Amino acid sequence: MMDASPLTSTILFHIGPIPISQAVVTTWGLMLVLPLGSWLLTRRLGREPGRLQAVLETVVVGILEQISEVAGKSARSLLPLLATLFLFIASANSTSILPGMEAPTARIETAAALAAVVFVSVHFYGIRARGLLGYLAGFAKPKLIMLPLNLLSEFTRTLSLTVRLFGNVMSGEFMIALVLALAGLFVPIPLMALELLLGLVQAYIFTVLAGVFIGAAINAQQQT
Amino acid sequence: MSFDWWTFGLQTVNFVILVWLLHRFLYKPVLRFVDARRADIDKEHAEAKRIQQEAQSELKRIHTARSETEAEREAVLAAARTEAEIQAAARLAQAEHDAEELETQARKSLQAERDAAAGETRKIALDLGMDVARRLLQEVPADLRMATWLDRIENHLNALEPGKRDALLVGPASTGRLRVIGAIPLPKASMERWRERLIAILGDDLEIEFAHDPDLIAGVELHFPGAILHFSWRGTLNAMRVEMTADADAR
Repeated sequence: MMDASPLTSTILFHIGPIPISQAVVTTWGLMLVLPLGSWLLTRRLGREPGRLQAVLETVVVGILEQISEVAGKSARSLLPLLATLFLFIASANSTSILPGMEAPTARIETAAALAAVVFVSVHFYGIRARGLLGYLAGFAKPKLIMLPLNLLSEFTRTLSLTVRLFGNVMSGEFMIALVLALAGLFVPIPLMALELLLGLVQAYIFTVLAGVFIGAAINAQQQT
Repeated sequence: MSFDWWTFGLQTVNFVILVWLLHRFLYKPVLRFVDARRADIDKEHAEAKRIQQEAQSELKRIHTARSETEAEREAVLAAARTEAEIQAAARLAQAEHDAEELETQARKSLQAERDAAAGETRKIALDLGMDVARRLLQEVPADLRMATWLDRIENHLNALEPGKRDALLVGPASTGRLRVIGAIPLPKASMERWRERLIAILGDDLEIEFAHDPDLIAGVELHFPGAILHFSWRGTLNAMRVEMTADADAR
């Protein structure tokens, strides 16, 4: 539940000069839960998959196939980044339904951090795939006059990633908080269920857009 | 609204660490097993494909063998059919030949029976004719019956050359003896007339005996020492019988 402005981070404590916000603490929690859960689930994998292993494989292979659709042959190398984006954003969005928790993605710093990682990854994979000059030359296509616009779009799409994720999640949480404050304890439950669904949709959108951006950078044809 | 750069930096680092952690504990192990299973599936698929190809080859071989068997069967059938046709033709020809032979034999047998019947009929007819002639001749007086024959014998002997006529009277057993056998016994007067006229032709040394044989029907037979002259209906009828038999055989 939000006890301050939804647009400001809630600082829980400081480590030296570093303020530790609730979003960071929640992220640490997720960083503990997700790998630990993965380790628990994957330590007894076998050739004959059980029910849990089947679900796990379905999730990973499903994400890989989604990445393949937008990034082509480079899907394997992009899997860790893009699958983690999806799992982290989906799980982070879902934390908002827990009492006293707030979704890290409802903070603009988290959304911006993810968008920044995507921004860097786009250029990293683009340069790795096409070489520095080849990649940079891609900004001047299809015409040289498009160079400023292409450069600008690199930043605007990163900004749009940030704002889209932050705005959707933050507004959802804000709305739930308002309804909870005005109507009572159980009234926001349908809204929370809807928020869960929207959180998954946002995770999907963010991941697919990141995949599209990186795929466009890897391939010759620029996509925005 | 404020932007906390510390939070931004920490979240960035956190996310990068999370990428590594999930890659280490989730994606890698899962993909390892997925890849292993996929390899197994590919291997089994390849094996299945190999087996399928083998099955197809086997199927093709079976089809080929079946086609060959079918062709062989057709060839055997054709050969058997040809052999059967040849045998049928041979048997038909043999049957036709046998039938023709049977027909020929039947015809011959029938002809022989006809000939036999005809011969029998002729014999009966001749016997009947002879019987009829004998009965009719019995209506004619004996002198008159024999007189005709005497004239004829006289003409015949007169027509002979003297050498031949003399040869009649010479035989291995006797000489100058004539035996006159008539169909009926000649009366005494007729005998004398016959003797006179024969001696007039053949000479005085001739010794003549008279006898009779009803089988002659009509006429006489002159039994010379060197030959027999037939002037009887039996002789004529026998000659006719021989001629008719020869004529029937010729037909």
